[in-house]
Amino acid sequence: MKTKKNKLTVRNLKLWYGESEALHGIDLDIVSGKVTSLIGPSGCGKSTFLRCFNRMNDRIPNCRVEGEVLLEGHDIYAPDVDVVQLRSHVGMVFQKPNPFPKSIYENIAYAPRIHGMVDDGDDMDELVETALKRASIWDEVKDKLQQPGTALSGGQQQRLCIARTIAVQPDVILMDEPCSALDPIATAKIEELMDELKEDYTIVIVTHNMQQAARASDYTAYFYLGDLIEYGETQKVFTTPRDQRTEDYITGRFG
Amino acid sequence: MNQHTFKRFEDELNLLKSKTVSMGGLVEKAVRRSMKALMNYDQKRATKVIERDRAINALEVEIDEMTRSLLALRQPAASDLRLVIATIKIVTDLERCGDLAEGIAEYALKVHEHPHAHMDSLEVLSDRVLQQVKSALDAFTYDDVNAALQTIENDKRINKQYKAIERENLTYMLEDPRYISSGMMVAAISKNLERIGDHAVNISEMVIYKVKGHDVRHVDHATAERLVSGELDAE
Amino acid sequence: MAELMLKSALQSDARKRRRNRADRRFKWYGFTALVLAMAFLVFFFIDIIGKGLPAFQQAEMLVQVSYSEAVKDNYNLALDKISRKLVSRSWLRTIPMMLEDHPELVGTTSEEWVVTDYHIDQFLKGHEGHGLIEKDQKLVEKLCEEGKIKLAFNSGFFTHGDSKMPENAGILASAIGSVLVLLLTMLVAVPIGVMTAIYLEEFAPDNRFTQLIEVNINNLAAIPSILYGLLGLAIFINFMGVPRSSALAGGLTLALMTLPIIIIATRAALRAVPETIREAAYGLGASNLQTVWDHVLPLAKPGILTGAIIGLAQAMGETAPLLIVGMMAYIPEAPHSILEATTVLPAQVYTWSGESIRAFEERTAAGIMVLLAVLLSMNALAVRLRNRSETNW
Repeated sequence: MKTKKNKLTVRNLKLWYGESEALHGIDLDIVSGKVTSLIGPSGCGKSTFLRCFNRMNDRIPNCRVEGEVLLEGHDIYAPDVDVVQLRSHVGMVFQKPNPFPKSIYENIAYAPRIHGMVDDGDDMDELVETALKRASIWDEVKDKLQQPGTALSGGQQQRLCIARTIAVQPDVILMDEPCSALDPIATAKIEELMDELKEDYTIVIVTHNMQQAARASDYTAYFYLGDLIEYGETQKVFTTPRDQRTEDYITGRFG
Repeated sequence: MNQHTFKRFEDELNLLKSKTVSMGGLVEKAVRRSMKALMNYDQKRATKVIERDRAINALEVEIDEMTRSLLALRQPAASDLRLVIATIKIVTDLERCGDLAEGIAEYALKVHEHPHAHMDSLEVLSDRVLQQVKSALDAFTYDDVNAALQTIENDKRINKQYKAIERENLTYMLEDPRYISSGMMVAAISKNLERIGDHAVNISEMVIYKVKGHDVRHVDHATAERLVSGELDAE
Repeated sequence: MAELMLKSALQSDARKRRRNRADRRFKWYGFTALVLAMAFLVFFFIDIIGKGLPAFQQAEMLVQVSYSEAVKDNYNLALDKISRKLVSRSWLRTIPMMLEDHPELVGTTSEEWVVTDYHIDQFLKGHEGHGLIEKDQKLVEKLCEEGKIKLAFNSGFFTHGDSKMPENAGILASAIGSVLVLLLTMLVAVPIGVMTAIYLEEFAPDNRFTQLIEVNINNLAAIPSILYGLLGLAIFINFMGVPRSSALAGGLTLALMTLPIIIIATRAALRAVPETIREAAYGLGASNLQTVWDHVLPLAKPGILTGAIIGLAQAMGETAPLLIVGMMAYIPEAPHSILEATTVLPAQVYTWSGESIRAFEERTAAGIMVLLAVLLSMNALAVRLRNRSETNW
């Protein structure tokens, strides 16, 4: 068996919304250069868990986190960690495509500019082109870079958002149900893109679509009521799950 | 196990399983009847067995059709997926068994040409093989892993007995060259029975895959037992 | 059987007919209410315009003016005896002052169209109670036939300040006052209001204290505006020593009144910006300030502008708080600084409406028309901005 390198390590992660505990001590290793999908019924904590990786939960008042989340060995909840810096290492793509209501070019250039990665000009042009090419959307938008990103189709918008995320050259890309608003063709394009991107990035995706988890991910984690029930290679989880609750969920028996 | 949220899917899976079980019943009956026709020189019964093989073939086609549509329309996962996969394989084995039984029935049509053929040991072998087929099908019906393991283990005895018949048959043929044509018939029938036994083993292996998700083909029995009991991880 | 049931289900019975009648009745009530409201509005407009339009015309008279040294002491000498009685005294009084400024005119004579006395103006417009004596009526009619008296465009209405003589009263002083007050209100209320709203909506923690503030702001928007006048009087005039009746006092007071409106409108505009945009920015590692400044504000800008304009339009039409800070006074001169006594358009309208001379009535109506025109164009601007804001994201 090949040795796996862990990009993210989660140890005994607990999360509270006010008084109610939403995650009950999760232990999980996200393997580097792979796609890991988080599945489970609504309200099981998978999105909450995903948002622990870029501390998006910080924005929610009364949200408290305990335990460790290590990004290549560094605790991202350590007091000296700058959330802004963290988010440039851990990018995020959201459920609804949410390009800024600005030009396609500006959508990509915004984050590199605020992080001071390159100056406007030729360097920025090149970065924008690379990001758009990497997200397989360059050919569709190269003639209309100054048009608003919101004028694209849903699937294109989502790929634009992915391009926007990889423009900062993160280590990890988090995707929160990225295809739930897209048609099957657009979905297939995103899945194909994920497959290409995992060479360079570690991808964690939350999905309600089990076929998508099966198709697009290498590892699958099943969450239920704030617990990690089962975690393993996708092929294993989908043919021979170890836990009856996983079995019931992925076969559509839920009672 | 919980009920499927989608009732029609549940019904289809149940129907698939019951069709396969009833196909197994037909095959079992065909083997038993072909042997009975053989032993009793009953040409009428033999003809019936041959005719009924068509029903088995039709059932195979029907079940294949069902598995195809289940795969395409329902995208089964986990135990459902394993049931469908196992069914595809089991149905092929059953159909082969049906063909082998048909082959025996064809010999039953001509057995009166060999009045001196020694067929007592064939009867004992066929009883054993029928037992194997029955226990394999029971294991499938009740998801009984232990019965399936037992069936696989029992196949060794059938092989042993088949070897014995082969040797015995060879002795008769060496003693009396006129016996050679009868001997060849006995050899062919015993071969058919032994192969039916092998298919019963295949079915049992698929039952283990379906229930436990472990592939126990081509592993020794001790390893298979440890896999099934969960002592050994598949890797 | 099933067909029969369907057929009967499609037919109307008493219950369905009753339901349909109730439907129609409700529609009719709504329509009646609308017609009634429209009727009031139309009546108001017809009344105002009917009364106000004549004010944009003014009777003028062609007179022979002879400028001499004696005129400096007695302006009556500038005209002959007859015209002296007919022209506006307010114009006559200005002659000596004009001669001071232009001494080269002394010894010359000229023919000029001069504003007449308001009695003649009212008489020519056919208003009841013009108060012109019979003898003069004949004279005026004769002069009219000779073309020496006519109705001309009333430019004085836009170039003069208030006056006790109706024919000389104009809205310039109050219009300048309004502009000054409004500018001050805008400069104070818009930045403070917008910043407050941004802080409350995007930065403030959601706790008891901010909730209390929120409730209070919502309540402030609903309290009678005259209370803001009292507050302004207490704070700005009595405590801070801002001169009474000044544009500064009025502007600050109106700013107080406008603040909650701007805050509420800005918060609504900020809340209308989809949360996904903020998430996108935060997800890319933008800071709080960058997120708000680069993404949220540009999207909320049209909404904020709309709110600000509506708030300012309301301030523009406000009279009650200004009454308290002393801006409801006879102030004929346009102010030269924000510390001088000033009046505003609605206050001017109010002052004229209280005048006893009938000729002020049409000027009141004309003032209302100007005020309405300004308010309507401000609202139109707000609507335009709102429509422009309806970009999809």
